[in-house]
Amino acid sequence: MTPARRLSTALTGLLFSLLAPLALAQSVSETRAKALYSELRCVVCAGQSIAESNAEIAQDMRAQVRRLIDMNRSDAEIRDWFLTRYGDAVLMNPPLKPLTYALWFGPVLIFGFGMGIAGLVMLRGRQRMAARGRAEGEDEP
Amino acid sequence: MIALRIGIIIFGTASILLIGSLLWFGLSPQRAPASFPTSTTITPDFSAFDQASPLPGYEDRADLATLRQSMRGPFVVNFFASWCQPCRLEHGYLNTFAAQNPGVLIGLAYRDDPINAAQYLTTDGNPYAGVASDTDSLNALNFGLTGVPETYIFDAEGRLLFRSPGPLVGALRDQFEDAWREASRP
Repeated sequence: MTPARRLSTALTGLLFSLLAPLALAQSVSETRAKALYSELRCVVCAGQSIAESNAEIAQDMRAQVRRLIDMNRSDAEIRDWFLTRYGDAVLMNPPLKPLTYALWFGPVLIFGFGMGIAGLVMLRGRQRMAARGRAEGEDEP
Repeated sequence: MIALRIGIIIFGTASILLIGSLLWFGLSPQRAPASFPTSTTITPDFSAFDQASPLPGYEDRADLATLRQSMRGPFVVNFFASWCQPCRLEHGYLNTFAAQNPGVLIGLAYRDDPINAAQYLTTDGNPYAGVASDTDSLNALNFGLTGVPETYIFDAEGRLLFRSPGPLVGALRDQFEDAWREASRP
């Protein structure tokens, strides 16, 4: 290996070792941005996140997510940033709070109630069958 | 077992009424399911006023941050664009409003070429005491904007009093006028 060759190898190695953390940081913020895109609702689209929509306002919102990530805001802070400006509806998953309890637990309650009624009806049917069985048994002798 | 039967009848009737009324209102032709519920509890953020860029020919009105600081009473912020057709519906009214209430109307051109926005104001009249182009839509996002036109009434402290998520015509104009009268009452 000539000294020039050795020097260039060393420099390349140095360059890569300097760039690696940068590339890693970039891919981390890329992943964070993508995750946040799918959590935020496009405010002019019917049921689409800003990850799915190419509406102009969705583009603006994506750019803002990136700016906030570059400003080292946490995911929670970024969600909050949009929440204070657009209200709960901007989150694809509505936040869990007293006002939305019915939304989150209502279906489970209704399902439970229905199951309870179905159970009672079946139980009653079984009792009736048993009663009929007993009655027929008594008739026999 | 009578109790169970009555329970089922009551529960069934209640369910049918509930689901029926949800469908009745949910499928009403007046309802736009895609429309985003514009919140009036938002915390307005004027921090990007100083990042709006001037419209050519209206540079003397571009310092929105200073104008907002100088407000001693309620003021109005209106988002518009030269490409926006509904904005033209309310533009005449904005001119009238500004003539009656000088110095309170701030305009921001949303996603618009500053040259086109300036041209629009020159031909259709400029109602704005302060007007600039909303660079990178920073102010639009700070105001929770969903589209243009959108109009906001603030009190002197910058609290949001009223919000019109559409052109100031018909019922929205009536509501706007009521809110403005309420806000400017001494």
